Amino acid sequence: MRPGVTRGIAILALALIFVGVMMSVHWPQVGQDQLAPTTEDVAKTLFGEDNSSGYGLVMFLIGLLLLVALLGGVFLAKEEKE
Amino acid sequence: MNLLEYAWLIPVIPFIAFVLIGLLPRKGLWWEDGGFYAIAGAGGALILSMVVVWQVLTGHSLTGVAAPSFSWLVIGNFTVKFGIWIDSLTAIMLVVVSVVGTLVVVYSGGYMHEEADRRRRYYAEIMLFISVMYGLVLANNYLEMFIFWELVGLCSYLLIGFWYERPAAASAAKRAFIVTRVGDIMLMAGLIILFKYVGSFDFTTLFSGEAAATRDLVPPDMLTLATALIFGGAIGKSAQFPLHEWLPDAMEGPTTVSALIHAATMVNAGIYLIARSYPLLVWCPDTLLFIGVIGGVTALLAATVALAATDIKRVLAYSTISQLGYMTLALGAGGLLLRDGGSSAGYAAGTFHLMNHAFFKALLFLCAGSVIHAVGTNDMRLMGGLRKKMPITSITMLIGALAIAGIPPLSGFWSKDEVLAAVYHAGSFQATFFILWAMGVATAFLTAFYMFRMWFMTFSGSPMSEYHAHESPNIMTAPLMVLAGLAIVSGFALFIGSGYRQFIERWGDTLPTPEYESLGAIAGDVFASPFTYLVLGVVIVGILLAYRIYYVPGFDRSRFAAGIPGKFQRALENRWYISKFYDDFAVTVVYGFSKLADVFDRRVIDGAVNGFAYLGARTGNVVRKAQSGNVQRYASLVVVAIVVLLLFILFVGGA
Amino acid sequence: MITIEYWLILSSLLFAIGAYGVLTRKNAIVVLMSIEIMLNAANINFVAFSSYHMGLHGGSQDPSGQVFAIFSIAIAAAEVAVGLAILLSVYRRYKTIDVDKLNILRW
Repeated sequence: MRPGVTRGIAILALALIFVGVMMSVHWPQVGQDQLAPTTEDVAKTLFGEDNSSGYGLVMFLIGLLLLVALLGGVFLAKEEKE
Repeated sequence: MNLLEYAWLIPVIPFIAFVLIGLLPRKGLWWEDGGFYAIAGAGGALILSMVVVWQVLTGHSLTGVAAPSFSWLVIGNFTVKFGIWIDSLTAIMLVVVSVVGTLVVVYSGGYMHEEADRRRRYYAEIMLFISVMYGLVLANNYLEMFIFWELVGLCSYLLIGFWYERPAAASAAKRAFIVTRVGDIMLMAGLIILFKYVGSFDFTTLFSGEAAATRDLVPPDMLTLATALIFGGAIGKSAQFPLHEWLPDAMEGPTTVSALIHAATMVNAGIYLIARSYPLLVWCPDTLLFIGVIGGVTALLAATVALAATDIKRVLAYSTISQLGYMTLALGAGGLLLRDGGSSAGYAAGTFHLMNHAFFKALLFLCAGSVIHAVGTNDMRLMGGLRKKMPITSITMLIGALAIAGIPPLSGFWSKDEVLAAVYHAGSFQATFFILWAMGVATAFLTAFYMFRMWFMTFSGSPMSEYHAHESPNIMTAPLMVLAGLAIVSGFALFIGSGYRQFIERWGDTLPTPEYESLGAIAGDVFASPFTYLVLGVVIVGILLAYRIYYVPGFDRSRFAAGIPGKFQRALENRWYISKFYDDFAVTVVYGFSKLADVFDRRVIDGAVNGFAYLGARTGNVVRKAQSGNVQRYASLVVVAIVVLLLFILFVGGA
Repeated sequence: MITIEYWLILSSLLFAIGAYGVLTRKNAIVVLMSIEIMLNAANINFVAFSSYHMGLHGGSQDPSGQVFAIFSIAIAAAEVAVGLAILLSVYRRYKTIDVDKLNILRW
């Protein structure tokens, strides 16, 4: 058999298991009016209500990481000079 | 009593001499590279021993709980002690070791003169030997005796292999050690059995009260086994059949070594052990019979082989084995006499013969050494006519030969007579001893014959080969004369004081003391018994036969070379093929076994180890194929594993 | 009204599709894209749970899930940048980006 078939079956089994488990869990009921946190909530969490909370620092570091990754990528992808 | 407590110095003095000879620089050794220290050491020990013996003669002894000892090792609730034990048996052994030891050391001053640098090693080893031999006879427990027993074996090995460049000597030393080792293992086994039941090695514990403790604690068959094994040690050390072959080969060592160790002292250690174990032996009639049989067989066997020996020292070696057989036989018979008849005649006879034999055998060996020193060869067929050239040696050797043959009034007569009388009387308790008695008489005949054969071949007639013989220097002839004197008079110890028999019977409280015998009674016993005359007659016939065959020229000895006598002769020359049997046995069995072990080791054990390595390599070879380098395959394995795990958790449960 | 199950089933199926792509496709760039799909499936999960979270304190909304989804997107971007750069180098060396042929690290 092509290797793809076995793997496909494995993936299928994985998916079925996930779905089966999800369906069998008893999720609590949510009222319509209580859905979805607002953007304001997201902003508050992200940048902090007072000085000591929030994920601002984390955000900054992730940005730093992105910068480094990009620079690294540029370096790795450079052509070799003869 | 005070003096006896200093007896522990007796082994110490030669030991100090040993250390000094070994460690001092060459300059400090003076005369004969250590000979002076050796004589001083041996002499000092001699003086002390004589003091001790005199104390014992006047009635003191140091036995039982009074025997001092110091604790050496404490193991759990058992203490290994070192102590001394002095009674009349010890006194006899001390006399023998000290007198013979000192005389041999004096003699070595002359005999080892040409050895130059090696003399130092010789004297050191001799001193060590004398010191451990004293330790052996003074020991007060079996363990201490065993330690010294082994040390004596070691010294014997060192001294036999003194000329170690000669392969024959090195091999003889090895053989001596290994064969006596077989005996030692048996001795150890016997001691272990005793220890297992009684819990102690001390003579006091084992022997006191007629060995009451031992008899209570050890079941009788175990006691028989233990005593038989202890006797096994004596078989090895005293060269009895079947462990006798090392002694003739041990003649590769210097003659003084043969005189000291293999005639007078070390081989007596086995006899001493049997005598010392008497309180145990008298309760085991089976062992006593065994001892007697071995002794008798050895005596006859060795005497027959001596008939065909051409090397002068070989004759004496076989003679030693034969006489040791006599002693063993006497002790075996004596045990029965003591047990069933209440008489210690056999014990007295055995130990008396021990003393006498030491003197005249040492004398014979030293004379032989003198002859070898003069002529340069051991082979008797090349000697002859030495009587004119070496008068002192020839006369002393004649005295020695007469003594061993058993001509009155020399010592050998009295002791041999006592031995045979004891054996005959033991026959009334155990019929086998009659046969052994007959063997003893035959041995007496053969002894006389081969001894005089030796004397005639060496000293009379005309020279058979070219040699330049001269009398030995005084330092060598003086001990010969002293020993000859002792050989003549030591027989009369039977009559000194209240008699030897009474002397040796003083056990302290261990065995019942018999009634005293007056001197007249002893002498009367000896001369009134018809057996005395029988033995005497047999001996004289032997001497005359030797005279006819070897002295009177013109006797055609090749008459005996063909046919059945010829086969007999060849068998005797090959020592009844016993040696050959042992060698073949060793080669086939031991070598075969070792080959088997080698195959097992290489195939099975190495195979297993190599097999594991091979298995690991093969498995790795197979498993490495899993590293395909294909990332997707790896990832798919992860997914499959996750699926399996999830299924497992969902359906089989788990915490 | 949409219950949370639908979102979860969506993310599971997306995850499965992404996984299938990772395991099966020959082209390395497609593999990277599939990894992206898987990451996005996880993000959907985060947001769905944060959206439907009722809280134990009676009614308080907790947007931590959404915040984390933002972080996750940023990380995914970084990872793809580096991944593509490496793929470029690999192409320069081996002249192929067929994952089946890139199996030098083998026995």
